[in-house]
Amino acid sequence: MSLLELRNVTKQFGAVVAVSAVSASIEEGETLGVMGPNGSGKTTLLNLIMGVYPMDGGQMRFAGKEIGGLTTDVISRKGIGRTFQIPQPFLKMTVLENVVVGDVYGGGHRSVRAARSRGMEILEKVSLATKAGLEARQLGLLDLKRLELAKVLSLRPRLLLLDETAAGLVEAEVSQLQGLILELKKSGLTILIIEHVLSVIFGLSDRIMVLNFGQKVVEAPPAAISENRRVHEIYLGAKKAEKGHVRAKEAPEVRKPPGSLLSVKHVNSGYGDFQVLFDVSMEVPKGDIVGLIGVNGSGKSTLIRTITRQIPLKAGEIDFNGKNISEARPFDMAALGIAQCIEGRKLFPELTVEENLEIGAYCARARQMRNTTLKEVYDLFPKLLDRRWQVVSTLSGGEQQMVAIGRALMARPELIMFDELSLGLAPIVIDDLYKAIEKINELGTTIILVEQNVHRSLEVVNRAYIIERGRIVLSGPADELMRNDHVKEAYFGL
Amino acid sequence: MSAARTYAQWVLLALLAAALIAAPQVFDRYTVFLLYLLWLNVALAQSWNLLAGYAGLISLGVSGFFGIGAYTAGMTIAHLGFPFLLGAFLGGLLSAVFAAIVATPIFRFRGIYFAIGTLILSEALRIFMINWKFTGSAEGLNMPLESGASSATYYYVMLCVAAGSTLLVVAILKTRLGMGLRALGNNESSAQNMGVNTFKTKLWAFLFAAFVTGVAGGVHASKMGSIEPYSIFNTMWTLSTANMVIIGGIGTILGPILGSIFVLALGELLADYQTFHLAITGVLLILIIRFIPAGIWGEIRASRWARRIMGAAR
Repeated sequence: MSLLELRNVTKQFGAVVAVSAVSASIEEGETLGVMGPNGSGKTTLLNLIMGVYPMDGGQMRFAGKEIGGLTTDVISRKGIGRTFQIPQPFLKMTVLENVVVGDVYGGGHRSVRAARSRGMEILEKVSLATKAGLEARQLGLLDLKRLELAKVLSLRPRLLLLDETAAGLVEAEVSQLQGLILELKKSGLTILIIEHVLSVIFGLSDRIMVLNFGQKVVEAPPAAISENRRVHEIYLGAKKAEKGHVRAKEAPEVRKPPGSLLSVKHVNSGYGDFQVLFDVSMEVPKGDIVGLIGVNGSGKSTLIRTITRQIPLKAGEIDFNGKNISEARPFDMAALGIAQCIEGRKLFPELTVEENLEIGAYCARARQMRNTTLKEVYDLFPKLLDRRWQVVSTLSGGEQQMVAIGRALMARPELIMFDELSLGLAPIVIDDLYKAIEKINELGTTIILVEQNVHRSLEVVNRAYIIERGRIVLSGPADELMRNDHVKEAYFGL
Repeated sequence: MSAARTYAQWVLLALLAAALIAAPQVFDRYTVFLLYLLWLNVALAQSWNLLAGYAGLISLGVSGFFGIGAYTAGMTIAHLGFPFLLGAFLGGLLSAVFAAIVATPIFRFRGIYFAIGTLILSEALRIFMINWKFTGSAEGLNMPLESGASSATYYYVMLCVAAGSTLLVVAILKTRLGMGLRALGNNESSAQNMGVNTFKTKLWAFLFAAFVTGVAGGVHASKMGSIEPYSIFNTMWTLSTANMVIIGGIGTILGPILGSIFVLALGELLADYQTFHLAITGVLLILIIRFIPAGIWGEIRASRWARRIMGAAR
């Protein structure tokens, strides 16, 4: 008998069929991978299993019993543990307390004391034992992902639902986490895993189900999936397009950039007593695309925040258009012509696409051009024109990222800084976004691309800076960096 | 923890208890009344803190539950001749029953909407009580003189309510219920995924707060001897409770106590400047939220000094 059995599970949001008559089953001890582009219904499927919202049709059975219509807490207590793509810790509780909650409610212990000692065992398993006394908000992303796993383990689950566990992690971290999941799998746990990182999903799954537009396209062992043509078309097919399009890019090389638009000179900065950036210098020529590459916590976002003057400058100078902007304030940026497209999108979720875009044209200079710019944005992202009256929170991840880019463009900036554009998005969506970025650049806007995805960013940018532990360790033309031994070793895992 | 330190702590605790018990015998009537008010405030602040500070449920309905307790006690004392302790207990019960009835609709609201919902509820109650003939409408009701007790008795009773509510909050936080409350206060959907039945968990905290607030209201009604809806259902009860918890340190045990002392002392210091009193308290609240959002105790606890001492105690 299957542990989890879905039969014709369907969910509609308004006119959109998010999950359409999906049937699947997972045997005890098996790992089922679920893949598909953004907006294909993967997370919706998890939400349906967890009872976050009711199904519009179909049945779900867990361990032989119907679970459709039950609430989330009941389903968790029955032994289904679900992790979130963006970790959802109890921020102001200690790491250990985070693990105690699940045990006293769903894991079988009723006494907090007993749950504490078992909690330590679980933390040991995910290498968080030394941090048991810290508050969860003090953890970095990798540790938060570990905690996310520890929390669901505290439920003593029979089935794990893992949503994008690798999102936002660098290669080395991903393999650590993958090792952890592999151990859980070996211990006999049944797992349903959603993942964009192909090596992870192919490495872990016994079977893979591919979704597209809410429908099951194919279900097969990993080997067969990577051979499958339809999967290539909808999911991996983007690779080819990307190659051709990189070559097409070489033409603008001729146009030599005249002078620096932004120059960062020997900058130190950080948060309070905690120094993050050490003597960072960077030149961004007018009209260029420059990459800023580094792993999580290396200081990329801090540098962006320092440039936009959100955190104090301890030493050094920042010049923009030949003018010293060290004394400028964050709200001056739009008027100066600096825009940023922030990690995690930071859109106004309850406003429509068009309202979000219009807010981007707030400063006087941009406001006059508002309708012209709006048209340009819609030309760049025709998809947004179709959805202009839709509330942003109902868009898919990729579409939201388009709105975020569009909003940055609305300020008619000379410089746009893109922070972690590809985070949590499917390859095909990332391709579209990168194409859009190149188009934006061809129209004359200078771009800084902040990424931890080294492959992709080096394919797009002309020059890049590599930042490690708050210091620029390498810089140079993209193709040179691509061949650099240090880069190969640190980021490509060669 | 070393044996000597444990011993010292017990001695300190015993001394404190002795001082609290001796207070009505030592101080004058007015001081005893002030201390009575302090315990009343502590009782309200602790129960509110469990909801707002731990479970993340910002209730602006304190005056409503306080009033239900006060009127239940007042009515049973005046018309049925109940002793005031029984009246106050029934006041707590009825307040909790009311909480149970409104829980289903009101828990549908989250965050700021929950706050507004509870505020509207208590305001509606106030207007209703002003017009309800059965409870004496706007004039309110009087309890017979002989139903009252000495000011020392009220002091002790309120001290018990305050101590009881503090100890209960401490105890609840150590249990499964406490873990669940804090979890849902941190992240409701994540708590559900950890198997926490958030409705039931919120309901327990809501009932507890309503009960303590109702009992405090019942005791206070008897202490006053006569009650009327304008002062008993006054939003001031809600605001001053929130005020004390936020100033003292929301989501801590000592915070509400320190906050109550602070606000009461400030009121006494500024008693001669009635007009400035509220303005100064208001400015202070703004300054505290701006500069030490964790409140007095929250700030002390986070300081290195406190960490060293508590670290050593562990």
